[in-house]
Order: sequence, then C-alpha cells, then structure tokens
Amino acid sequence: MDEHERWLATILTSITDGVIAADAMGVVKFVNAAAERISGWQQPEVVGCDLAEIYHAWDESGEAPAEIPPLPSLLEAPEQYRERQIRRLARKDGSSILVEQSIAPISDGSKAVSGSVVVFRELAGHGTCAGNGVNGHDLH
Amino acid sequence: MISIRTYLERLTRDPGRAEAPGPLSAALRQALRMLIAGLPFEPVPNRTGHGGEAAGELLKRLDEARHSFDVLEVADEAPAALERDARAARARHRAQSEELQAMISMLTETVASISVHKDSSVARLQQIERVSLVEDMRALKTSLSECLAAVREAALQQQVQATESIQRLESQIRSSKAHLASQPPPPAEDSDLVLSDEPEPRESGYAAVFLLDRADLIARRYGESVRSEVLAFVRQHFKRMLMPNDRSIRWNSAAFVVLLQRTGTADDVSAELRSLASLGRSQYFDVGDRSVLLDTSLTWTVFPQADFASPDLFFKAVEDFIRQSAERQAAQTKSGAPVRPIRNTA
Repeated sequence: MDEHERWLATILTSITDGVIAADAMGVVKFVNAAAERISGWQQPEVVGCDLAEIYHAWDESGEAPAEIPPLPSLLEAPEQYRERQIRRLARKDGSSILVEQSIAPISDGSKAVSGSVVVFRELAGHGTCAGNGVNGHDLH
Repeated sequence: MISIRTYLERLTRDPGRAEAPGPLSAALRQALRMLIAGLPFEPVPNRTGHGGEAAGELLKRLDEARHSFDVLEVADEAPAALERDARAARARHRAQSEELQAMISMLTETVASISVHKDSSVARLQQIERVSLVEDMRALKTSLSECLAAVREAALQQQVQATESIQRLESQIRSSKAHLASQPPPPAEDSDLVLSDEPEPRESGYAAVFLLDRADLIARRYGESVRSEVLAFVRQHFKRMLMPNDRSIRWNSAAFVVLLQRTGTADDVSAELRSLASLGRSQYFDVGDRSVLLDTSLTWTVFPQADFASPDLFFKAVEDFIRQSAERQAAQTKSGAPVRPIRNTA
C-alpha cells in the first residue's frame, strides 16, 4: 500500500498541472510541485490550513471573487466546477496570474466522498501582475 | 286573580305604564333577595367574577329594578348564574384534584426509589394515585399520613438491618483475622495474598477533557447536527474502549469529559488515553445522500481530580483548556500556519 501511495505521489509531483487536495473540511492535505511553483505556497507551510485561506481566485477580469466552494456546495453542482474555467489566482507574494482551473470532489465512484481537488495550469502567454492584481487596478 | 305570566304580558304590552309599588312587588323582591342570598355560590380566592361577586351583581340589579318585570328577569338569570358558578367550581376542583394526583405520583416515585423493597406504602400510594377524582380531602390526608408513617417505619427497619449487617461483617472479619493469625504462614512462593493492616492502594480519580479538532469547521461546512453526530460517534468509541465504571459526559457541542477511576499515576492514565485517542482519525458520516469522510481527531488533556479543591475550579480548568485549544487552532488557521492536533498531556 505504501509503495502504491508513493507511486501515486510521484505521478502527482511529476505532472505539470498544479494539484491541491483538501479533505472534506477543506483542510489542505497535499500540494504538488507544480502547484508550489504557480501559487508560491510550499507544501509544508500550507498542509493543515484551510484551502480557502490560501487559494484566492477572481474571475478573468479580476473584478469578482471566485472562491473555492466548500465541499457541500461542490457536491450540489459538481459539473459547474468540473469544467475548466479561467481564473486570476492570487499568489503568495501578492502578484496574480491567469490560470485555467477545475475543481472536483474526491470520490471512489460510490457515494463516499473524502474531499476535493483543485487542478490548475498557468495560461501560456499570460505573465504575472505585480501587486494584488485584482479589482481592475493592476490588470493588464 | 291573574297569573304572573298574564300580569307580565299585560305589562309588556304597556311598558310605559308606571307601576305603583305594592305588596306584590315588595314581596317578590324580598323573596328573590332571600333566594339569591341562599344560593350556594362558591367563593373563589384570588379571582373575580365568581361566587360572592355573582350574587352581589344579582342583588345590585334587583335593587335597581323599577318594575316587577325587571325583578322577574333577575330571578330568571339567577339559575344560569348558579349553573355557571357550579361549572367553574367543578373545573377548579378537577384542576386541584389533578395537582394533588401529580403530587401523589411524585411522592409515590420518591418512596418507591428510596425503598429497598416495594413495601405496602408504595402500593397504597399507587392506589390513591389511581383514584380519578380526589373528593374527600380529609380521607386523603388520613391515607397519606398512614403511608408516610409506614415509610418512616420501613426506613427505620432498614437502618436497623444495615447496622446489624455491618456489626456482623465486622465480627466475621475479626474472627477471620484471628483464625489466620493462629495458622502458620504459607510458603511465600505459594501465596499471592499478603494480609496486612496497611491500607489497600486507593483508586484515584482523573478527569480527561477531549475536544474535537476543527469542530467549528465541521459545523460551518456541514451544520450543527453533523458536528453533534461526529462528537457522539467519538464519545461512543471511547465508551466502548474505557472501563465500565468510567463516565463520559458531553461538555458542550465540541467537547466531552471522561471521569476515570485508576490506581495508576497520571502518566499511566495519559499513556492509556494517548493510545485510545490515536485510534481512528477519520470516519465516514452521512451528509445528505453522500457519505463524507470527516476528521475525528481530538485534542485532549487529563487532570487528577485531587488537584481541584472544588467543582468550580475543575469547571474553570476545563473551560480554560477548551478556550485555549480553540484559540490556538483558530490562530494557526488564520495565520496560514498548519493546524495540527495538539497532544497536551498532564
């Protein structure tokens, strides 16, 4: 089992998409290397934190917040969040970056749900914005 | 000679006609006054509109009556007033009777709970309780007095029996000790029991406080009922693992306290609880039509009960622990620092 888990962790660490997994209460359990690079948050400093406290996103224009939904809301409309959406993500250093993200519940295929996972990738050709980069002030 | 009916009919046809006061009218008024005064209206303490007041109202209207016709109207209303008064009195008696029966029921339960045997007084009380309406207060008082006398007698007998049992046991212990002292000591390797006058090691009391980690987060995400369900699950888990004499008490919506009787030291108790708390950190709970894996980990501490001179001090220590733990978790979450279960042991 441990070997299998290590194998899965290696895969998740190797992929270029950022992956952040949280438990059913929204507490961060895993951050892969791509997510560390894109968001600026390192896994050891955010594991155990509320996902909503470290992953702040806005719509593409930076006007409207598009926070990560808590699991109950996600379960009510999973299709709405599963589709890839363009978001402006606030990085740890205060800058922002355009990403394509999707969110899905972590389920074994039955009705049992153990958390949620956010998958996001940096959009090519879109640089970062200095400052908080939201609310229309610093956006390009 | 005309009938009263005819007289009144004539009066009704010509109501403007002044009626000369005569002996018939005076006699009618006097007869009615005596009748009203003699009616058995029920006086009601601390109430208005019943009993004496109803009679007073009728008499007042009688005084104000100008015609014999008005006098007869008052007379006509008197039976209705009496009937209303009687209904009110019956309702009042029924309520009093129900109150009395409730009191007797409580008394029966009390007597039954303090009686070692179901003595005759309990049966007697149950018999009184079953009576649908308490009619005769004097008879009730007598019955209750007899019952309570029987209870006192039974209590006295139990006290005497208990004293005799203690004396008998003390005597047996003395004779057993004397008998053993007269025997040669058994070989040390064959004996597990060493009789000694030194006191047995006494059990010490400990109180462990368990706080559900991220309880507020569970309530915020899934509602108070789910948090309550998670706490109940963890409590049940502990109850299964602890000794039968240990008592688990729900403290608030996020914490529970376990009172333990142990002969070991605080370190021993901490080690025992640590192993229990480490079992099962998450569990699936039904939320709507899904099963969701929720964190059931705990922050806990244990206090020797001897540390507290009064229950108030113990309550304060528990509240302080819960508040500090919750504050620590909240501060770590807001600061972006990880929230990890804190294992705080005494």
